[in-house]
Amino acid sequence: MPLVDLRNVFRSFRRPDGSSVWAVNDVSLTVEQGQTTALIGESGSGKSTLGRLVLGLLPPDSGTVSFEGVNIAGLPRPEMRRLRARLGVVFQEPYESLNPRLTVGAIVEEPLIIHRPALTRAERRARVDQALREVDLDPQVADRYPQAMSGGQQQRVGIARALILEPSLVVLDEPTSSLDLSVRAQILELFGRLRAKHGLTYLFISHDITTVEYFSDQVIVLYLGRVVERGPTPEVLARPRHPYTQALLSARLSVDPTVSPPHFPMTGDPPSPTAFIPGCPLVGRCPLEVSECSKAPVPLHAVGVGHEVACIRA
Amino acid sequence: MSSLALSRPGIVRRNLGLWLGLAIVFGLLLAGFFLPLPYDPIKPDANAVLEPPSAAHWFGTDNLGFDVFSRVIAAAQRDLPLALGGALVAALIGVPLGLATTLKNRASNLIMRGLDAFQAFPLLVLAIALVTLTGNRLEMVVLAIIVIQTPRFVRLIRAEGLAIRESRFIEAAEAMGASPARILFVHLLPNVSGVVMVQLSIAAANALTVVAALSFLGIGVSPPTPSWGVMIQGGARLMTSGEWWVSLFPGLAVFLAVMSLNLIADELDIIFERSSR
Repeated sequence: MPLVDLRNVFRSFRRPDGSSVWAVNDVSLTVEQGQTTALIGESGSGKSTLGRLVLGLLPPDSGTVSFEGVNIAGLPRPEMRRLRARLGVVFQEPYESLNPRLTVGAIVEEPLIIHRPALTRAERRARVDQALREVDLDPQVADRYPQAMSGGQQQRVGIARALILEPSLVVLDEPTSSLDLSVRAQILELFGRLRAKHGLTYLFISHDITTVEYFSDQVIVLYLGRVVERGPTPEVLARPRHPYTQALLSARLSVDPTVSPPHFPMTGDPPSPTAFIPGCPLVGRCPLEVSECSKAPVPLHAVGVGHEVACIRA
Repeated sequence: MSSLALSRPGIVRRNLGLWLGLAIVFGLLLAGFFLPLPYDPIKPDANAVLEPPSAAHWFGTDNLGFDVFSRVIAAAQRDLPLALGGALVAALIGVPLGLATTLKNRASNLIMRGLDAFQAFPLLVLAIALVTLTGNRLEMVVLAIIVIQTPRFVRLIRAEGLAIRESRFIEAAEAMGASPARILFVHLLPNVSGVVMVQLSIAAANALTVVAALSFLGIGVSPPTPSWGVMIQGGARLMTSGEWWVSLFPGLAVFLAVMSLNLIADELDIIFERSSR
């Protein structure tokens, strides 16, 4: 049984002018225990909305969101709150995700207060010390306020808070994209180390292909709220089959300046997010387009072991 | 030694206005309770009627022979605690209500619509009716202050709280399974405490003018009891005949106290603004 199982999930948002934006459009996906699954796509592709759906912070319009075999979409609030002990999240903006009026110690301790009421104060403090040490922070920072720390340190506090209850799933919502490049590498290394030590399952949301390549086992490529391609990360990145994935990969810069990435021509802008798209969402931008593309939704089909793509030309 | 003191301004020097305001308000309050008065504020002297300020009567005497200085000081004992207490109770009721209305549910809508209907009444008139109906005692003025000030706290806290609710750290708290009460009191409340303090001093200043206005109108006062509003009212008729001191000194006392409370509000606003950066 996969740890997370989304079936035919739809989620739209109503805009003030009355039109609807389809943020997530008929998405089915799974996250396997012990693996790191990456969600990749440009901004507006619905990847953060998917993260919130998995966390139960947003209800889907239709479809099921299962966590450990339980559909969380219809769960009563008290049960959902109890279940949250097994769900961790690290947000993109480390500073904004920490309450400026609480000390670092109080921030990291909070999940324990909520979900481990039997612990004494001293036991909680010991667990907080240990959690801070695990993310390479001096336990003495517990008395400080987040404002007095660097971005990298703040993100370590966020990670300590997400992991203190040893959750079965950790959603990482672009956890490194607001950090400096050097700090980014350290934080990724920390995520890797914690994963190896505790056997963590990550749902890693990113727009950065290089990070995904380095960090994930499975990759799911999203475009306009739909899954366009998915499979084992090395396979998908080595042999991308969907034109959108190919375009995404060709936009990547190589570390070797003599190697120019394969050029893949993609023209135009993405369509309006409120527009109804009967067929493939890439219609109008795709160099491989044929008249069939705009007629009906394109289902995912297998092109390799665990490798699926939603393109009739692939 | 002195250069060190200059390079590192102390807490008093940095927030001079705040400390000045606090000193004046608490000075008036303490004087009202503990300052030995030269004359009994509720015993008139028939041989000293309408005497101008002199060494014997610093602020003069009024048309009944009361010593104005003694009564101005004694009035602080009643007027200030009424105003401060009323503002404090209004905050204690208004802040939790305001926090509760940031939850997007039916009850919060109900509270807000109720507040709209309530605030559609002229509040001072409502206050007068309230005090009169509850026995015309000065203590009931506290009730009037609460009625006037509570809706202001509710609206302010709701406005601030709704903005803060959109913060990532609130979403993080929801994601970890914090209860609504925990989100309100652990996460929202500390982030609005600054504006609560500011509004508290504004409310106290406003409440003081309400106390004065009500007693000026003769609401809630029982005569020999000194109150600034009653004294201003009593002296108003005498202004035209040249006996300016009867109204002027209680007027100055109200002015001083209101200014000090506003000074405290301004300074707190600056301090909390600075610390939230």
